[in-house]
Amino acid sequence: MESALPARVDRIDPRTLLGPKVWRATEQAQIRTEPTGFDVLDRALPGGGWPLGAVSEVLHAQLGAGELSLALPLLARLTQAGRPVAFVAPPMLPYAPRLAAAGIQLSKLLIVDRTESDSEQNALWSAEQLLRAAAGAVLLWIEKADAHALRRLQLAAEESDSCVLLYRSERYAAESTPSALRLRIWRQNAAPQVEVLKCRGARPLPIPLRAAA
Amino acid sequence: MLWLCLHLPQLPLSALGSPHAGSAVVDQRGSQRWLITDTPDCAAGTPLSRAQSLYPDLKVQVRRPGAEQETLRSLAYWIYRFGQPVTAEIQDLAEPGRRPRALLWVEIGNSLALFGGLDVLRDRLCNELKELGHAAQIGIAPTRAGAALLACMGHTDPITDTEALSACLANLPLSSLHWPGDVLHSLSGVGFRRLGDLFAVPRDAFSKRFGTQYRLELDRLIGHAPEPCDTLAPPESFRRRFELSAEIEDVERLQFPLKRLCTELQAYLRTRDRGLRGVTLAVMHAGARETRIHAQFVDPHREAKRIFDALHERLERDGLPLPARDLVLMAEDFAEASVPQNDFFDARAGQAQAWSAAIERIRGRLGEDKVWMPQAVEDHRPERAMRRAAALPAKQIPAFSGPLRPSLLCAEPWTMPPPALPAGTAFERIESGWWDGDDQRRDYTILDINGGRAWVYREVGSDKWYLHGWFS
Repeated sequence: MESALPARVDRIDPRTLLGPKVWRATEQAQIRTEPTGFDVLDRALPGGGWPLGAVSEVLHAQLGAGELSLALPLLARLTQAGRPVAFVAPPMLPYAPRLAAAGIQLSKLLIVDRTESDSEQNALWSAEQLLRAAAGAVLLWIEKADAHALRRLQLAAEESDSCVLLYRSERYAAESTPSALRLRIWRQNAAPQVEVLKCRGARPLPIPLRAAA
Repeated sequence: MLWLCLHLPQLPLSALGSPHAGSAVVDQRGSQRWLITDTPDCAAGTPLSRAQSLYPDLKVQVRRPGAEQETLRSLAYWIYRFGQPVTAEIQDLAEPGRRPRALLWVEIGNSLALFGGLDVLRDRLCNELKELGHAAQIGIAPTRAGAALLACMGHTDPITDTEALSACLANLPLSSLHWPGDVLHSLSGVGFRRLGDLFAVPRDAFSKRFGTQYRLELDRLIGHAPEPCDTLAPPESFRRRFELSAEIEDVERLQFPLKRLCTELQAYLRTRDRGLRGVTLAVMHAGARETRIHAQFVDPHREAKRIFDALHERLERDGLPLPARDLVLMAEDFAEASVPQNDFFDARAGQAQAWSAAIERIRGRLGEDKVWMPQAVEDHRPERAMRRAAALPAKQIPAFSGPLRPSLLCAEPWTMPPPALPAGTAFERIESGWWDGDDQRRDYTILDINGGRAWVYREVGSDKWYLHGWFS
């Protein structure tokens, strides 16, 4: 019996069989992003900014490398637009005068402290709750995190419309993680340096670039 | 006057809070026991011995009149939003084989225009009643007694004038009257079959033979006599007790009664047009001991699910020290008007609620003080230039304009060895607080330490150095 199928199967657009999420090598991947606020960095990142609905890892050599400054323009823009943002398990006290000076609407900023026990699990759970509640951005500080936990976080991020910034020590740079974007930041000659270790949608740039302080 | 009457035939069961739909409630008079609620197999009125011989695995619970009164009263407070006055009554003949009639009236004549008509009002009332977990038959008539009789007989069509009412009631059988059995027996012995037969009897003759009381009740049915009643109005604070049928140790098993209490609180808030800021649950144990659980909300709201989530999360976190006997839900902390109304055009209102609910869930699991919002405070001393706020601040304090501050601050400054200072290091002197006992005299500067930009200070006049923050 004649069927209504096309004569050659290879002419079928694979997306009709496998759904719209199939990416073909001939196309540029569509990435939704939020600008970082640093032009040099935006130009280097595929899509031109922090990816939305994905986890971005920021690996820093130590505190004070300028890792939080990377996120401040994003947080300022989101909170001024009325979207809530959160810091989950920051290593120290996020200092309100500095954050306010960066233009962040403090009434839209939530801090979730570390807990004495089960710190990582509680932090991940809290981040997931906030992502489901339509957070604009969630900044999360976790050291020990297994692949399963990171995968869960990535899935929660994918279901949301938020930027998730995961802060970890650069000791974990060699570890492979499901994050969409991995940046390394350190200070050299009294200026912050940023290197893109991994990103979706393009090859990471091999050259370190200078970001504004 | 237009009365809407709810007849709640399953009230004795729902007042016990039993989630088993199949179980029956029994009443007892002397040695006689009979069912007063319907089950899927047995009608109310069946003697218990017969019901148990037919259905040996029938679950039976003893009636608790106090719980019925309490439940009916809370429903009265709910129905208050549909009109007033409101009145309620449990008519109980205490005769074997007769079921009590739990009746709740609200006068809706004045609020019809507000709700946009009888049908709209009735639909909304039915939906909310279902949400509260009760089933009722509705009767609408110009007299209280008439509405009650229509409700009990399952006559759902509204009747709005007394003429139509007496015509309708005239067709009802004598047994529909909630009168003692011997009175009904003697009436039927005389040959009366329907209410119309009674109406037709001359007033004096009826009074002489059967008593003025019953004649008065007939007059009240059709609006020939006034119907005095005690009206009910909701109190200023919410307090509702739920008696558990058995001691409960497992927090999971408290879910059902707790959900019920939260739904009632929601109804109360809607009635009073108020937002809830804080709620307390007292779990009562044996020996008059109790465990109190308090939840404070980020913004005032009136959602049962949020109340339930907040309390349940805390119950799960802390557990019960002893088995629970009763639950008491109390609320006094209300906000008058600032409840965000669900605006069709503002999707953000829903998002803000989801955000607040997430905060409450995290507080419930991690602890009240673990979730906070930073606020800048005008003070020169770095430690005092911010504070932790528990709820959404009303207004933003103007941004601090001055020298650059670190983004992460040490909760306590860390002592450090004196650093090697580059030539020409500039200091910012902070000298303040002599008036309130927290005197600070410090020279701050910014240094690169191990590849991090640090905020350090030296006590003025000493060589003690401290690390106070990072320019992260």
